[in-house]
Amino acid sequence: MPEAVTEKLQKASSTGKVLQSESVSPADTGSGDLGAPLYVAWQTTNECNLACLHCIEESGPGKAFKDELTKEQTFDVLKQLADLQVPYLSFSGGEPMVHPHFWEMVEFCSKHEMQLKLETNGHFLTKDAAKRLRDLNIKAVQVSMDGGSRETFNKIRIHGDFDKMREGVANLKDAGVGIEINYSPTKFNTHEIGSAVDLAYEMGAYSFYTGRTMYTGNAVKTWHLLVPSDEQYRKYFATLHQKTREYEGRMRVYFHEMGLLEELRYRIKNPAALFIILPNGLVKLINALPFTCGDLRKDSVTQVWENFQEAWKRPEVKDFVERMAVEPKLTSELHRWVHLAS
Amino acid sequence: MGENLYQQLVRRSWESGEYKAGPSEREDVSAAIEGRELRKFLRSKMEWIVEREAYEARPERSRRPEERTMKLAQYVKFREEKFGGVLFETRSEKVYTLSQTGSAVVKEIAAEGGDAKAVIERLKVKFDDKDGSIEKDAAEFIEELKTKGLLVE
Repeated sequence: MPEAVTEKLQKASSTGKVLQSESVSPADTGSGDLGAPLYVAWQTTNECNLACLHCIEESGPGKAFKDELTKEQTFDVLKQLADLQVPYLSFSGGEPMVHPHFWEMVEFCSKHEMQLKLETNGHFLTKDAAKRLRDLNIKAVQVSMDGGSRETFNKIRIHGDFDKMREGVANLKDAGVGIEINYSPTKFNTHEIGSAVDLAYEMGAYSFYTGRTMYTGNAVKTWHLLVPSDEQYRKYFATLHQKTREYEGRMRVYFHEMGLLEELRYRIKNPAALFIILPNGLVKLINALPFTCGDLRKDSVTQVWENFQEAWKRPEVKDFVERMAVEPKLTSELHRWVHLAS
Repeated sequence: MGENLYQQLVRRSWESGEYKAGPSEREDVSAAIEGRELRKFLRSKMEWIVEREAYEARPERSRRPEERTMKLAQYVKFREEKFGGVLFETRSEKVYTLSQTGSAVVKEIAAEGGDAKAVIERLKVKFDDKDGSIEKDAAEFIEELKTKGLLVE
C-alpha cells in the first residue's frame, strides 16, 4: 500500500473514529462527499393498469411517455449504475411490472448485486412472479394499499381490486419476499389507518410508510375529493404515533408528519444521496420540485451526479421553495420540468 | 435452554392453537389484552422464539471461534469513497460513513474473510501497525459492526 495512504490511515486511526457517523437514512446522507448516489429511485414507465385519484405522476392506461428510454438506453444506464457501485435502486412507475423489460432489468440488478426494491400496486404479483422475485434476491416489494377496506381501496384506486392486492401480498409472504406497505391519506380513508396498520402486519409486512397526500398530478383535479381536514390529519398522526409504539420491534411504522415545505427547506441544506430517474431519462432533484439536472439519454450518470450536487445550490431552487410558502398550490407545477443547466 | 413460564405459555398456545391465558399466566404476559389481540401478540412472540431458535441452531454457531469467518450481512452494501467508505444497510435504509481505517477493515473482510483475529493480523502487516492503534481500532470496530448486525459469522 502506498505510504501516503498508510499515513492517512494511521492519522484517521489515531482519531479513534473508525465508524464516523451513527446511522442515517440515505435521504439524510450528505451527497457532497460521495462519488455517486447511494440510492436511485427509477420511475421506469408512466404506464399503469390503474388510474388512481391521487397519483402524483398522472399515470394510467395509455399514459406511457412517448419518449421513454429504449431498451438499449435503459441497460446503458443500469450498467453505469452497476459500475459506480450504486448499492440500492427502486423501480416504480406508473406500474413498473408492466414495463416491457421489467424482468430483464430485475435480473440485471440481481446479477450485479444491486439491491432492489419494487414499488407496485400489487396486481401482477402472481405466485410465480413472487417466487421469481425471491429467486432474484429482491430486497423488498412495496405495495400501495391506500385503504384499510375494499370499499376505500377501490374508491381511490380506479380499476383496482383490493382482493387482488391482498392476494399479491399473500403470494409475496408465501415466497418469503420482504413486504412493505404504503398508504396515502385521503378524507375517506384516514379513519382506517389503525386497522390498515394492523392489516399490514397481519399480511406479513415489516415496514409501513405514510405521510401527507401531495397536491400534484391527478390530485390537482380530485383535491376536493381527497384532502383530509386538519382534524382528520391530527387524529391520523396520533393513531400512527400509537401504532409505532404498539408495533415496535415487530414492524416499523414510518410517517412524515411535517409538511412538504419544512422538508424541502431541510433538503436544500442537506441534499439527499439519491436522485430520481424519470421514464424518459430526465433526472429530478426530488419528486416535490420541478427541477431536473440531467438527461441520461445524452449525459453520463457521473455528469448528472455532479450537476445534481451543484443544482441544489442554485437560487432558483431556493426561490421556488420560498414561493411555496406563500403559494402552496405551486406543487401542481411539478410536471412542468425546469432544467438547471450546469 | 430452559423456558420460563411465559415462553411455555407461548409455545403451548402455538402448538394447540388455543390462545387463552390463565390468571397467573396472564400476569406473566403482563398486558391486559384479549381475544384476537392476544392471539396476535402471542403469535408474534412465538415467531420471535422460533426465529431465535433457528438462529441458535445454525451450524455456524456450533463452530469453534477459529473456524468462523466473517462477512457483511445479507442486506449490507459497502462502497469505497474518497473519505473512507459507506456501509448501507438497505433493509432499514440506514447509512454509516466510515473513516479510512473503517473502510480498510471492511475491504479486508470482504476480500478474504476469516475470523476477527485473522483479519486484524493481516491489517497489522499491511499497515505496519507499530503503535498498535490499528489493532485496537479494528478490534473495536469489528465488534461494533457485529453489535449493529452489519457483520455476521
